[in-house]
Amino acid sequence: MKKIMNILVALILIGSILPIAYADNTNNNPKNEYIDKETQQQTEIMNTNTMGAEIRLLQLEKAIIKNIEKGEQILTIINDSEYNITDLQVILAEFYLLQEEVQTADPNATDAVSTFVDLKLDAVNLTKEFREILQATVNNSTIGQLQQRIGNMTSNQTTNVTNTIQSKIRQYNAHQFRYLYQLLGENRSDWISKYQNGSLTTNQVKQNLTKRIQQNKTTHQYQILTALKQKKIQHKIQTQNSIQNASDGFQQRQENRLKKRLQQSENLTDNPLYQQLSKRIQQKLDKLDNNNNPGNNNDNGNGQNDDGSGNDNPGDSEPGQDDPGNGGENGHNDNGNNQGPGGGN
Amino acid sequence: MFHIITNENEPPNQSNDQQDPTVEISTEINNLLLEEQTEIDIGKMI
Repeated sequence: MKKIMNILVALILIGSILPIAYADNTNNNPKNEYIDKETQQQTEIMNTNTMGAEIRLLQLEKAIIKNIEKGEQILTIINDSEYNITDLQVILAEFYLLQEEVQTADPNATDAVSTFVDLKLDAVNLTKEFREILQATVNNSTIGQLQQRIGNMTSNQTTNVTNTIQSKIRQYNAHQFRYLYQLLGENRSDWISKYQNGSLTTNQVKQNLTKRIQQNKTTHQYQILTALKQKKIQHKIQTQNSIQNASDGFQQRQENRLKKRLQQSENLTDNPLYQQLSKRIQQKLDKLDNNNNPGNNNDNGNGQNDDGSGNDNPGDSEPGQDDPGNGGENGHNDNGNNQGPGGGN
Repeated sequence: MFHIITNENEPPNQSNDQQDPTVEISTEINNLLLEEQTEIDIGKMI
């Protein structure tokens, strides 16, 4: 009799999960004009709590620091040769401004997801521009040499930011473990503290949780599963809303961002590189304006390197299709206060 | 007339496994947690 009751309870709980599971399948990563699937997935944790947003912004900062460092190294290597590297230096100058924007982004802001999406896309576009101009500037043999030298490059440039990310991830996971123990009706603050200070690994806490769950009755296990599924769906709905918001104001935010960057660049025009950068950003703004108002003709007649707006070649801005990152841990958290990017100016 | 087609090579009925909620709970727990080494890919400079 008891067994039959258990089965009945289980069936009722399964019934309550089915609509959730259906919603889960139908809401999974819809196509978005501006935001690729990988980025959509990355924003999911930003809706859990502000730690999630902090983690993603720090990870983006780390990726930018690594690429700036590689860019600087590349320019140092090819600076002595016959190549004109001004365009590459100008892109790095914009990269430094982008790094500052990531560092000053507010993870607690309601539009943190939009900010992350925007800044990540800018980072992907700047990387792509740098790579394409480099490939058009130097010969294949030099590209091969650069790949060898830069591919093996290690440094300490991201150590600080890497440590901060790991600490934040532990805090984030500790928050999740606390929730899971609460579902079991337990308060294992001792385990969570040990996990946070590094005495216990993620796997050790997971194993303890799994063991405790297995010791529960099947009906309670189904209740836990239902709670987890409900949380997951609520989370997915929040993520879809954030992605929709990020997509809705995308073009306007892009224009605002470029205007702000132009202003910053114009404040630094003592450095000739920033004069070039101001021109470059103005071209992007003109291009955006022309795209939004096809009747206008705001071309300043300086049409080279007109890219990075994300509107030039729609297929180009697919960060998910780029090769994976360069691997290799780098080093220090250089706050990149624009000491003159591009080596040599 | 209905013919029941059977295949002896088919895996054994896994309905017992599917009824075990702990497997799915494990998956959901993994989904809630973050890997410490995850990186964001913005592409290569070369």
